[in-house]
Amino acid sequence: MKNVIDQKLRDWAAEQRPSAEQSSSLTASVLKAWQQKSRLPKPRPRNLSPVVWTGIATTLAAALIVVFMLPKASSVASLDTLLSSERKSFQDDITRITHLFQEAETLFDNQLHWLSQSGQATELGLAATPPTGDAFTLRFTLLSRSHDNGGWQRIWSTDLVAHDDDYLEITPDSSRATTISLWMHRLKNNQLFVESHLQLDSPRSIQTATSEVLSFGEVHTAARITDNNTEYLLLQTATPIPCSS
Amino acid sequence: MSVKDVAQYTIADTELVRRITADNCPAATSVLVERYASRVRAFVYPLLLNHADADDVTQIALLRALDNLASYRFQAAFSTWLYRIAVNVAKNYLRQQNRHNSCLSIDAEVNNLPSSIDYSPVAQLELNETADNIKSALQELPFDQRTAITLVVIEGHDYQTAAAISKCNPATLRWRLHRARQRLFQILSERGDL
Repeated sequence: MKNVIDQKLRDWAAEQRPSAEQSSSLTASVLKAWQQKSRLPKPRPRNLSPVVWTGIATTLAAALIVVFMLPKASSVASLDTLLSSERKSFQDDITRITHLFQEAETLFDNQLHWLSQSGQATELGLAATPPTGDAFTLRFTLLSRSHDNGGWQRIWSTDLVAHDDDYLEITPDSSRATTISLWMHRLKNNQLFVESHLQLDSPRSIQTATSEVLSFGEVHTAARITDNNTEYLLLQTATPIPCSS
Repeated sequence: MSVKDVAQYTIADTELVRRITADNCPAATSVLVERYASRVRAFVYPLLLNHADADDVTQIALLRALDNLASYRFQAAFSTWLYRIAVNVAKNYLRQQNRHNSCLSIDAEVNNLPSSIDYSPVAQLELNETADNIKSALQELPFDQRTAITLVVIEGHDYQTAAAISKCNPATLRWRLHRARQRLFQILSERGDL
């Protein structure tokens, strides 16, 4: 029956196609714009006059004064508060992530190698030979604080579902130049050994390698990085994915 | 070289690109634009769902492609490269127009989908065939899913090509397509089009 939806979409799209006359008009419009653009001299970089620079400097100074006089934002939080909210947020999200993973496994006939969610972006990887290890959800969270204001902020996070005893090198979000290398091994007592290498491009350029033992569901501080006036904490949280029936 | 000379033969896209980048050949430019204007326009309309916007985005995308022809590396098909530009232009155009949620969703994905979709003949789909129903259903899809379903279902690209245009891996593209179909099925069902 999905073929019915597909056919309806194609029929609808065919009705929306431009007529020959509309296409000709569009082509002519593009070519005219291109010709006009080609005739324009290329813009040269302008040197601002001293008067303009003075004006810009004055405006910037005024803006800085206003910023420093504003009451400080209350978006930063103590580390304990953030770790507690991270633990709760992870617990709240596990059902959704598990459902997503199981649905994707069904769609791809159990050939799903890994799945990642960064914000609203979902990425998937397939393997010709299905992985045999247990599946785990692993959350990476990056916190930062400036030495000036002292409060922590969550600036990046990604959820990754992968199998233990399986080495991965992935790009969890194709819109960013971020790569994660990962290897996990299940231990006794509800623990997971995680070896990872994170290369993050934005919102900050950070590279870190960690080897940690994580207790299921507990937020673990995997790395602490200082860069000029800013401190970063990399958190990791993991839990097993229940087997789908 | 006249337009007639250029158009007399089926000249490959790559040859047209070479002539434009080497000589700024007006005839080759005309042929290339004429070859792709209606194709790009037909492609971007389902992404934008507005005819005037589709005209604008088509023009912007083609001009951007002509501006950046020197950066085309001949590794992917020219159409793949051009469609990738068109997708980026459409996405940025929507962001600048600040159309979200109930109008045209850019990023948000609704996760309240049923756990399984019954695609069997027993479901007896009876879709309302008016253009407005399809259009309004597409409006509720996130941009990435709308792009995926446009590339594969409407344009007929294979997963590899569609993934290259979308700059994602084929598995991700299939996932977006799966979600798009699920969502369209749900929307049309809820509106009594089953």
